[in-house]
Amino acid sequence: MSTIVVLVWFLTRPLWTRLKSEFAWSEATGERVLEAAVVYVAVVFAGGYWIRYLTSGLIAGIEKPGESPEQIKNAGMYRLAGTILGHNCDRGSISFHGGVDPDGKVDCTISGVEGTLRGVFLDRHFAEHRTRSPRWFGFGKTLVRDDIVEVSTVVPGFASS
Amino acid sequence: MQPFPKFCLALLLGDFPLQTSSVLEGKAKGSRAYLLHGGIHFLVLLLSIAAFSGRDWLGSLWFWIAAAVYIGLHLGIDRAYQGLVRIKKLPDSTSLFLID
Repeated sequence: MSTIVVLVWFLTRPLWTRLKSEFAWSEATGERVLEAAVVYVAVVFAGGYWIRYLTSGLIAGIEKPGESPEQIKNAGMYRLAGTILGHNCDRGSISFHGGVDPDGKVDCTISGVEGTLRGVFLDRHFAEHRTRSPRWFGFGKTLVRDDIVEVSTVVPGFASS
Repeated sequence: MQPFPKFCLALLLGDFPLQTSSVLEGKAKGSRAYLLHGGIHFLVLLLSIAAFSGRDWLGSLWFWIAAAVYIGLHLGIDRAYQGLVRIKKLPDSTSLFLID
């Protein structure tokens, strides 16, 4: 990326004032970007903190052999995420402090969330969620915008064979 | 543009993604981590103001006074909060974060 930037700069030799005007935004645009940034950081980071606080009561007194208190603490958030996303969700899509869910602790289901899922995921992804994770091999049919579509997911190793 | 969202963005960025676990652990050991935390907050606030308000604000004395008050208050509350949580006078809670 830096090579491209240096090459473009070398070829065009833009003036600083022109470069500055390219990246300048109007006050209205700046306000929108600021609002989006505040909402994003508040929801993703402060919201994550809040969820961990809310779920801390669920793990009080739980002891599980082979898991540290920190892992059990994180599991509270996974369970809440599992409740929201449903049983067939892609576990890797649930983020937590330091990455995605590597232990596959999200294992909860709740009925009636399909409508919400369709609003959150793209239709293709939703179809994959209904069949299984995109990382799994499988075929299935699902309803996407009132059409039955067939969805197949292939393990990368099998795709070439 | 109102100053509140810019300070809010700086506070959120400085307290969550830019507060590493080493800074968090360092707060229990001494004041160096607080200085680093305050410096990060200050830098993020400067960038936030420069990006969303232009450089006019940076030339204003009131901005520097407000920034100093913000950093001082935040570090003071943070220190008191960490101290109270450490001696278990207060539980770690969201309401304390909101007060901060």
